[in-house]
Amino acid sequence: MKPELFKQPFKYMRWCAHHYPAYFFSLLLGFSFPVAALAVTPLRRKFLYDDHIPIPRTYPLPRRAREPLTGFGDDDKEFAKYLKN
Amino acid sequence: MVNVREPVVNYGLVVEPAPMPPHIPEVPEIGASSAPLMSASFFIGARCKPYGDDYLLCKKEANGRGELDCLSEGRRVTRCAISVLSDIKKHCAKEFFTHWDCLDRNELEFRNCRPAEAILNSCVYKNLGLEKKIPGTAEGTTPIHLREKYIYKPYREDPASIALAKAKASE
Repeated sequence: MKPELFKQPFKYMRWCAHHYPAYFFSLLLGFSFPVAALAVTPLRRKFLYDDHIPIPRTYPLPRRAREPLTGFGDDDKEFAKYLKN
Repeated sequence: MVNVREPVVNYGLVVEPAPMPPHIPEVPEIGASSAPLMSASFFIGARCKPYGDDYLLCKKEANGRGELDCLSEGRRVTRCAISVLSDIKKHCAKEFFTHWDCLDRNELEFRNCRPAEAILNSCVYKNLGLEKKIPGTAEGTTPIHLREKYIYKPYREDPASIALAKAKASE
């Protein structure tokens, strides 16, 4: 006896899975993939791990004014010690 | 018969056709190929980040004339990198050689040389105080070079670095 779709949806699905397994499971997979495509990434971000920081495509320039630096200048006399090794 | 010829580099024959003008101060070449530079890269970054940042900020300020106006900042970057390589060679010569030789033989991939890298990192940290830090590592995760297990295994195990690790362990 065939169950009715709108009165007993789960029983109807079970009946379909037994009587038309190829149609039933291909439709099941076909409908589940768009849902997964939309849902998996937000769920992964929420429950598993976050996205990684985007890899810089150029030198990550700091947003600040230049500061005066000491060392390794043209008149740095200590630098000569590095050239011996 | 194939013409077999030994490769020869004679720097005496190499002439610089357009030398720098004499009023610009001299700076030596770094004199390292890609494998040693790759091996020392994170230590160069650790010591020379302020100079590198300053050079690129100068180039940004110079608004297109950076190659001319930022020569002195560029020389500072070169000298800083030389100082790091020189210090590593002075204190950790064997560890450094093992690591960059491994990189040179294994496609310049850090993942192929983790045993040698761990030894080099600890030696450089002990002697120079420079630490490898990968920028952008997510909080609460172990950086890739400190992990025990790897998803991607090395291309092949490097026998020299494993021998050095054993020698270090038995000391």
